[in-house]
Amino acid sequence: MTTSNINHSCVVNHDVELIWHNEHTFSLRFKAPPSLALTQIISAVHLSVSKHFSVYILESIPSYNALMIVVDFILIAPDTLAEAIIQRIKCDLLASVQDQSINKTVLTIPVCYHPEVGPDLQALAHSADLSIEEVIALHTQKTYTVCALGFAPGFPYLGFVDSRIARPRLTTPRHSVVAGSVGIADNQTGIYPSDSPGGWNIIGRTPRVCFDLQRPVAQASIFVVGQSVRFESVTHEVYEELCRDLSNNGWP
Amino acid sequence: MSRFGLVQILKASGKITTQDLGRKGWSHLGICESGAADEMAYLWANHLVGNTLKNPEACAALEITLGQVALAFTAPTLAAITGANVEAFLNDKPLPNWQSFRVGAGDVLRLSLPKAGLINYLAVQGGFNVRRVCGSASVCERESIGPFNGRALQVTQCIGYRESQSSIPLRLVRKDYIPRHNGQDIPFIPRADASFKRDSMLAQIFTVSPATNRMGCRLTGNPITMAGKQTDQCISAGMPYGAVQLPPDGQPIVLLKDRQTMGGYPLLGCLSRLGGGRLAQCRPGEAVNFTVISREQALRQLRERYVFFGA
Repeated sequence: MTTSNINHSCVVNHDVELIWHNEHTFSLRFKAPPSLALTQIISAVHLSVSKHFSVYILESIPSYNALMIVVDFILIAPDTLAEAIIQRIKCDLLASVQDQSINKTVLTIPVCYHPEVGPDLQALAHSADLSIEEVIALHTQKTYTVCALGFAPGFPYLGFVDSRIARPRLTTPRHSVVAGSVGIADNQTGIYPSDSPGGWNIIGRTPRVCFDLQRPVAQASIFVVGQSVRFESVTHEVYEELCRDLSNNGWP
Repeated sequence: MSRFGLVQILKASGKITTQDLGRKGWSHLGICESGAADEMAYLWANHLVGNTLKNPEACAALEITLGQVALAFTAPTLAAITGANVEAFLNDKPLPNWQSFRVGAGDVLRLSLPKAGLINYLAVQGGFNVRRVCGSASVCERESIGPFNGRALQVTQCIGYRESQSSIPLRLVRKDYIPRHNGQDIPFIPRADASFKRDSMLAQIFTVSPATNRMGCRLTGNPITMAGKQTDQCISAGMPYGAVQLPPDGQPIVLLKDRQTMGGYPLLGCLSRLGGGRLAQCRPGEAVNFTVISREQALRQLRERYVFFGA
């Protein structure tokens, strides 16, 4: 894994590729393996690009090692904007602006780790030769970073779990995973924001409503790419209580 | 003062959803773009009734897949049907596609099963009045997002519009601008860095698989193989409209309007936006082949059309 002292200027001068997809969509691909440091750089680049060029951009999707941008081709020639963005990134990263605007607060997510709401908890503990308590301790001790949002609305890909609790996806995905389920897939962990099919190993459930379009636009998702997240273990009783408190939001 | 009218769904054997040009600026949260599957047919329908992209909020139209619907109007308006080649009737009188027509209170519009193509658009002057979700009237059934709780319209449901008696002249689309619905020579922009045998994509005829929907079009043909290991492309990343994905079985999937925002399969390239709309009109079992278009040429064509439609 890359250290946080990664040489930012190097990344831009030698290691960013411009890849065109269709008439007005391109990706900036960073030629480095996914890491928390790279996620920080990409989310900083995303913020800077959104700040300076938002009027010309229809969509921007940051992910592990890339930033995809859809250009409003009525307002600007897509190639002109791509060129301007690359110049901007070079300036930003050389000036090490990358740290200034990232939200440094850590978001804490209460989770009930219990076989009743975490159907794969027991099996995961067993295959890792750990007790359930040890799995919970390993999952709650780390601070994770939102590396990407996607798959389903508001689904956060959080990097990276302790290698002792990393597990591949289920061989056969479940037809339905309940909203709030907390899962592990390889070295990532994540939360299902709504009921959906899914193949992650489910170890618990949170009462937090992670995604809700009834909320104002900016608050629809409680996650943004680059943000820090921790999990906090709560008892079944506290979980039920939190569920009741949140029930006027219509869920669960 | 303008009055309101309602369209009531009398029959919906095909699927009816409301669509516009889709949600913009939400994909970083994982919300898909959605929007009219055949953008050009949608824009023509609006053009015929005098709606322009200068006011995109007044351009919500009905997207009707596989026809077989009946709709009753409660107030006068100007309407138009574009898209698939379909027999349409207003009060049992045959109605040509691709031209505007006046509707009166109590009129019933019927569409049969299209003869070619899959999807029709019904636009009315001023657009349909629906609750926008994330700025768009588009329904994405897969994510249950959009008006009508993100679902297709059902029999007895109603959708509103503003009554119009205005004297906008009737319009029709010139014959040579009406697309032929077939899968021939769909424009494809190959990806510069993708290493696969171009011929395996361009010199063969694919078949549209039955497992095709608004999310993506699955193609069946001789499997395409990527040269070398494409490990770098297997890290999940944003998925553009028209992206041609290659899963391990070598059968390409073209991502359309209701695509997921992120994906991890290697990409061979993208269809042009116009090409994506043409593919969306292809039926399961239909033959499809691709031809290369440069990004610059595709952009020129796309811009021309958007400017024509008032962007």
